[in-house]
Amino acid sequence: MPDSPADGTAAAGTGVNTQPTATTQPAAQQQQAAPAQTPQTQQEVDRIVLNYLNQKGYKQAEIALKREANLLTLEEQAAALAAKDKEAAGAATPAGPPQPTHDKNEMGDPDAYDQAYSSLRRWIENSLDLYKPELMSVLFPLFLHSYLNLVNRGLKEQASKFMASYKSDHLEMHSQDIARLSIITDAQHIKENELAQMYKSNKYNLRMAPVSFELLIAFLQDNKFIVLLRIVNQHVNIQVGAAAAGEDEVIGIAGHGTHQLATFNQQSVALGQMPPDAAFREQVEQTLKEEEALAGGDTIMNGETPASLLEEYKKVKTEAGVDSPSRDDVPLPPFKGSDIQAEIEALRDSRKRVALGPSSLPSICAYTFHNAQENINCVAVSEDATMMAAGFSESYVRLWSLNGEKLRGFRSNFNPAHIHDSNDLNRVKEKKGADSKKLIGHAGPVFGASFSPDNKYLITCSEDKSARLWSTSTLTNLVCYKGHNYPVWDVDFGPQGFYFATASHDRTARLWSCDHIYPLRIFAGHLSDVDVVKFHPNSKYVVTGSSDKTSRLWDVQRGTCVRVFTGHVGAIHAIAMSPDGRMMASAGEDRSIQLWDLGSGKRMKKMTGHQGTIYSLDFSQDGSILVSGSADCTVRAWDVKKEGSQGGAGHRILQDDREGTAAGSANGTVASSPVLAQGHGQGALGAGATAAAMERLNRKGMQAGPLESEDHLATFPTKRTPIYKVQFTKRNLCLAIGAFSGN
Amino acid sequence: MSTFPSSTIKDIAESVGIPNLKDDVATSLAQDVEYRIHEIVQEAMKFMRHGKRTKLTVDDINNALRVRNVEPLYGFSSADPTRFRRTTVGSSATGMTELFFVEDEELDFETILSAPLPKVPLDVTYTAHWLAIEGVQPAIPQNPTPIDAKADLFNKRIKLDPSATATQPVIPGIKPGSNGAINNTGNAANSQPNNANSSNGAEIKPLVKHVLSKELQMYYERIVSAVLSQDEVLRATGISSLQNDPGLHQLLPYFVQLVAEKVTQNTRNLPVLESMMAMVRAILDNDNLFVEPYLHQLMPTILTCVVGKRLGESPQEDHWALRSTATDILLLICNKYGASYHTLQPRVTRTLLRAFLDPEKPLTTHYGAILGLTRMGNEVFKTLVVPNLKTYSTIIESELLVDGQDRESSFMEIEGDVASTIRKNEASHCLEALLVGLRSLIRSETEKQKYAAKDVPTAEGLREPLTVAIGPLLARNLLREEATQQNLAGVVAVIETC
Repeated sequence: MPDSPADGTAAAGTGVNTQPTATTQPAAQQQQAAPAQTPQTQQEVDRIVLNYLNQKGYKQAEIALKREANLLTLEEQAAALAAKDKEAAGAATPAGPPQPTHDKNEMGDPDAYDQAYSSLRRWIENSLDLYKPELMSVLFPLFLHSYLNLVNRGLKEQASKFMASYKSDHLEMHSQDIARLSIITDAQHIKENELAQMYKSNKYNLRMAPVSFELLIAFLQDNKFIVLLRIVNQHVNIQVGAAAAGEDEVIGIAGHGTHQLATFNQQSVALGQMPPDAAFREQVEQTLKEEEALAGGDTIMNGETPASLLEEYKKVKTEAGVDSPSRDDVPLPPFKGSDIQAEIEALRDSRKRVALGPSSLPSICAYTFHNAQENINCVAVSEDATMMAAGFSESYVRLWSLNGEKLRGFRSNFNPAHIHDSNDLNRVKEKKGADSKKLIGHAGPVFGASFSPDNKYLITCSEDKSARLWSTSTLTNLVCYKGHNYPVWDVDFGPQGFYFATASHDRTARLWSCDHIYPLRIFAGHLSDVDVVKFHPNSKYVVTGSSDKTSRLWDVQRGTCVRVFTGHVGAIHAIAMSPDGRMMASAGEDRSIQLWDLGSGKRMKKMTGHQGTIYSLDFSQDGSILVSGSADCTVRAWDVKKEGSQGGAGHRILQDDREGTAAGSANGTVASSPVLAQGHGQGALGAGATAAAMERLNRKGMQAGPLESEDHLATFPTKRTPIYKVQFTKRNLCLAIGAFSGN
Repeated sequence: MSTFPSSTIKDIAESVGIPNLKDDVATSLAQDVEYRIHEIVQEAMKFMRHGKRTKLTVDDINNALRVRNVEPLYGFSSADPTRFRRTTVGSSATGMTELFFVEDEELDFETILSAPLPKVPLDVTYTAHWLAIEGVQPAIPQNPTPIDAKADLFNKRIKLDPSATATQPVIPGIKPGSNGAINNTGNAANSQPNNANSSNGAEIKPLVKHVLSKELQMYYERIVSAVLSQDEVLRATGISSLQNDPGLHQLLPYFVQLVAEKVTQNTRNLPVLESMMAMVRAILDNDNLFVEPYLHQLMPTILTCVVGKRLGESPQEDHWALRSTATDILLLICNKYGASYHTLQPRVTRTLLRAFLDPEKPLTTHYGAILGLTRMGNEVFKTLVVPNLKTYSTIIESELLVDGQDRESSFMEIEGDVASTIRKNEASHCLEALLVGLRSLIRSETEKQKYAAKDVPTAEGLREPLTVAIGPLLARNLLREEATQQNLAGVVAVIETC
């Protein structure tokens, strides 16, 4: 067997244990001498027999014995552990020789690693959000060393199987290291491989809150995952306690960038505009030409020639750029006549658009709901601002007409058999109509609503695990989409209609098309609830925000994650993408807005100032201004272009200083909350310690929150109305919607 | 380490009939319970956030339980937030522990069934307004005033960052080098005033308990008993003490509170009302007291004493004097503080006028209103009361006349007779008050016109137009007097205003 005793002893010897595992230590030290002896001899015997059976090829007997031996060893594993601790404490090492034999038996089982690792993984997966990030961080070193140990033992098959099955967990953060280590298949390689040696000879630094640490150790001990415990002892240096302010902290191994998210985020993405269908383009141009010919006389009369719509259209809809997705990526149903009209209308709107910028702020129209503060969960406004929908906790959706046109539903008694065309349909509609209609169908609180771009449909999602499609012309429910296993938090219609995406408590986001009742894609990868979902303007991507404090960009066609954005310290509740599809803004519970460059996956800047959870974000049509609505009853405008706090290094330090000072002892809260401290490590974007430290600084500044960052343009307070939704119309009028909260 | 001590688990076990739970069982159960509760709260928070609320509700917890496949808790959901009450358990030997519990009221089915149906909740509606026009927030009622908003934001900021003024954090990276350190402190010094400046004007008052010294408390009690006592001398002493003593400012809010309370509780008790008015007068007269901040509390009580529907036990009592005193105080306040509060007098005048013009109101109220308006000055009387005199005089006249008829025919019973006498009395008081006002007005008008050479018509010549202007009753009474005969020019002015 390749697992030499030397390895064991050496490891046990070097494993200078800095961590306070030893709550049981004093007691264990006393017990150690007596019980350790006899069972160890028993172990010896077992091993010999096992080897014998192995050589003879008596598989059944071998397995039986192994199981038996395992059972026997259960009791003295604790003692063994204590022995190790004692050695670690620097005492004499009389128990040296028997120790490796015992371990060898444990570790001799090639599946031990697999079993231990997979159950630890499952356990962490189901742990509380509060502790999850910290517990997750220990998985990578455990994974890595388990693999190296398997290889070292010469168990090639198990090693490669192990790598194959769990590699995907760490690809995002550590893709480079995994690529380099997965080629190691021989014990000899390990000795030669620099990276492997580095991991072997250095301790992997981690920081954990006392509770998480206790939970982890208790779990490993209760389940007798001695193999993993050994790794934790030997190769991981867990610092228990909260991050002390001002201390330089290194996650992973000093001098080696362990977090390689940047590499993951280098996957190519096509963020360009979706090129219009050739036939569609032709049709639109044709219509425009005809209209211009008709209007030709008028313009001459007026004496001034406005730039022709046609030229403008040609300018806007350029041929597919270098990074435009192909139309085949997102198949759409054939266009209709109304689509052409809509396109032309959009063109006209873009012409009447108000130019916005830091010096010319938007006009904001506020819609305030009354008598509904507790009940309204979500609101949506159609793109042309003619309709507004609100989802209520009482399971219904209410639709309002904003332009004075009455909403006319069907009369209660009519025979569907007599309906042949739209005229018949009009006949059975209510004569009078009303300004608002209740849409009843959901069986739980309605959490999300979104209008289709052509305003014909409304999609809502609810606690009852379903999404429902409503027609805004007949005011009836058309389809119920079931697929999620848990409450659905958010829904978003695609920019071309037809597709929509949902986000759910079941930790997945799903892509649907209106004509299928099952999901087309399931985007799985988030570690906690997916709270918000938004389509990329070119329909090829979907962005999700989650309670695991990350947001992700997913490729609709392949169903895979192509970007991960880490940096928030709270759940993400709002996401907006700039109309050109290059930028993304995310915000949520941590009250900061972060602006991301989708192409590079890097954070551009962070905007602070809000004092409550941010519920909604939207970019102006030209992407120069970002507007946010929050629980602190304000609407705020932000300058997108202005260089944020991440500019020059000197500038950044000053900025940090300012924020930090303003924070006062808010740092105290950071320090006493280990999760936040851990979040730092999780979120470290850049590689290297300095970046991480800088990041942490930023984070602290943000905890203090209140001071507005420099790119904050204006605050528009309301009278005790938390803003649930902000949205720009095509002409750059900003709508802000909230429910009056009374006293 | 657990939030739930194992003793709690043991208590619960006992309550479900497991008497001796082992320690280790309890401990591990406690840990599990803590984990489960964390889990449920975590899920419930998600529901709360998606409901765009900031307070966790019972429904959130129930939703969380449902998501975790646990039977929801029945009987806790309610529109009202659950109120927890606090109690302490344990003896002094074992140490007191605080215990919070939800009060469980006993409900009677009978009363629930017979209770009227609750009101239909208001329908959800929406209103639209401009929050900003090209980046500028218009000053419309729907938008908060800038000062409000600022103060509000600042309060929130304070709440967020409760220890903003505590020690400043150590910033790594700036530590090395003295230059950096100076920079750091400089920044710190700069940023804190900044913080304070951003709130300019919005002063934050710490919530300090108002502590009254023992002496003041005793003084307060003495004064109150003295002012309310039957003993004339004692009362006078108390009032004069209030009027002259310095150093009472700490007690002022309590006095104001007392007046408000006593007046509302004792509208039938004339002596108390009189004492209270005397007290108000004394407070106002005391130069050492700063009454301005309490005016809004005082005004309603004084007005009550002016235009109250029924003051005193029986209508025969002399509440007229009280009304007169209260009106004087009202006037005093208007004169003293009118300069700093421009709206004060107009508001009082408007209240009085409304009382005067409402025919539904009893005559006693009218009397108070007339009294007040009269004393507000001739100009007020001229512009507000005189034009309404004709209409009003018919009301009084009818009262006076009805009485006469009643007495003649004597069909009415004794009580009715008494009531009508009272009403007549009231009406004549009103009449008297009006006449007082008219007289004073006429005199002043005559003064004004003395220098303007004008033909003075005869009294007989004026009778007709005056009757037309202010009604026969008043005209008759007015012309009967000698003083009027001398000031006929003023009468002309009165006629002209009508």
